[in-house]
Amino acid sequence: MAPPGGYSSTAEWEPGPQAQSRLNALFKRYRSGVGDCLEPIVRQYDPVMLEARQGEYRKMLELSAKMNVVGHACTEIGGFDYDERRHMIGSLFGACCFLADSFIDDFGEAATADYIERLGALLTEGWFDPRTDRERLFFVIASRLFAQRDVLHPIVRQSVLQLYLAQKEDVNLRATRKAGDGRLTRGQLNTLKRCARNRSGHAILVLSAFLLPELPLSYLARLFWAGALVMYIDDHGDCWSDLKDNRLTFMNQVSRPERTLGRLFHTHIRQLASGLPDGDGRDLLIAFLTRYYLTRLEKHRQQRVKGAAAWAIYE
Amino acid sequence: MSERLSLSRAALVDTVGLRIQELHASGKLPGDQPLLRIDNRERAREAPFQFDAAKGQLHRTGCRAIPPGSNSALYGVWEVRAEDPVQGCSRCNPIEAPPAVEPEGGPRAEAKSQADPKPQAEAQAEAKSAGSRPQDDHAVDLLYGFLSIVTQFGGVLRERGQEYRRSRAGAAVGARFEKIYAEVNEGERRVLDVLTSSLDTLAVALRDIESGLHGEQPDGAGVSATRSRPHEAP
Repeated sequence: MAPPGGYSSTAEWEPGPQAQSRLNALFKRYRSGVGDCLEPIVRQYDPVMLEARQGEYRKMLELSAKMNVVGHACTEIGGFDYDERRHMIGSLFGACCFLADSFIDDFGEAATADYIERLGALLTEGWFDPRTDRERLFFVIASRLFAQRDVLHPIVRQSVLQLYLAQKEDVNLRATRKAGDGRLTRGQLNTLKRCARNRSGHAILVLSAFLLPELPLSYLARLFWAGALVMYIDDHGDCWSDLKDNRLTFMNQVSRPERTLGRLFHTHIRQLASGLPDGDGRDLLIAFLTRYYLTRLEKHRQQRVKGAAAWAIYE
Repeated sequence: MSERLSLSRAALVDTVGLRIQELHASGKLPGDQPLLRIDNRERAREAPFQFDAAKGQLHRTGCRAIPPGSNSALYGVWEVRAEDPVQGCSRCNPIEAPPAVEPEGGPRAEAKSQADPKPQAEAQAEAKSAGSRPQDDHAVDLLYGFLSIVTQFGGVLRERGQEYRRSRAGAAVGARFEKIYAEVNEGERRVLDVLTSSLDTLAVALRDIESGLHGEQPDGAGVSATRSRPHEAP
């Protein structure tokens, strides 16, 4: 896909055709591979998802494939190979995120509050008491993910907790109300921006902490920035569906979203290009972020015209 | 073959995990102990250093130069490795030796009094003695090992365990365990506590599953029965 021009220019950090074709190959590989890991678990614990909610299942696989590509890049940045075990971790992590997001977004306010409270209990006491097939699926996937790593490792524990707190804040911010002039105050806008930063910034650290034996502090911040950028891009792509759901985000409240996103993209990519060690991992991460940025700009434009589709997948 | 084994091991662990949760939900587990506490916020706040992931900067805990917007991006750090180049805060100077004493009210003196002024080596030694992390996957491997043995040889093990406990050798081992426990550092002890508490709970679940397999289905709590419930909102 060609850059639409203007703020979408990526010439300065163009990862090159080699990284682009590698990104294509990895997406193809993981799109076809994540099902091998997830399908048997879904079939056993929530078969209705496979039978009656194929669109949702596809979306889960797509998110897991995306997590595998990001995880692949993070693993190589850390100096390790993305082997079969890590492929499984990436797949489980993607499914875990997908289900957690669905608990927050898809079943109404009461279910959201209930999930946040029970996830808090799971992290502080270990008790979740799953009640539905979907919750059992989530619990099993989370357990299998936790069994792949020493969950008492300080960075693993902190990143999981920070991700939970960011989700909790995101839910609380949904009650944010605009002032009389229909605009948010600067403070409210900053809070939304910080919340977006934390949601995906901590998520990429959870993924990396599960994939790497140690997460050096020098990489931790860069990966956090990469994660934050993913969320700004994601929220811009989901702008119209979020507004339809009455959900405020930094990207759907800022006055010139495309220009703001362009600035954020260039600043973050510049930091990643100069701060991460030269190598395939860095190039892959930048290629992924560039592709994600361009496709979500397009998604935003399409959805403005066509309206938001719940389970649309954009390459 | 090994893939099948690992699949059946995963399925077994799923079943045990879900069963433990169901037993807890139905109030059948003794006591009200946590199963596993991942939340370590209190300990992280007490770590000697705080890493601001949003700014990529390391601070001593309590440093007032940490921006308010970074409070939700802080990671407690117990050990800063020489081979991990990281930007340190110029105010609390966490990487170099502690800053020289400045005149009272000076910015560095203020930072020194706010932030823990212990040298990095001292702070790290404290962190180590407080125990920061166990070996990778060690606890999980132990848990799997325990599970595989108990499920395969449960009956034999129980009988042997009772005999051994009554023997002189068993008593000696018991005493040795207590000695080892007294000598391990706080971090290792924490892992052991979590492990033993989890094993306790696990033992209840295994007994329950075993009685289910022998036809004594516990009150409507069978895993297959619960799995067939219609889909509901969470």
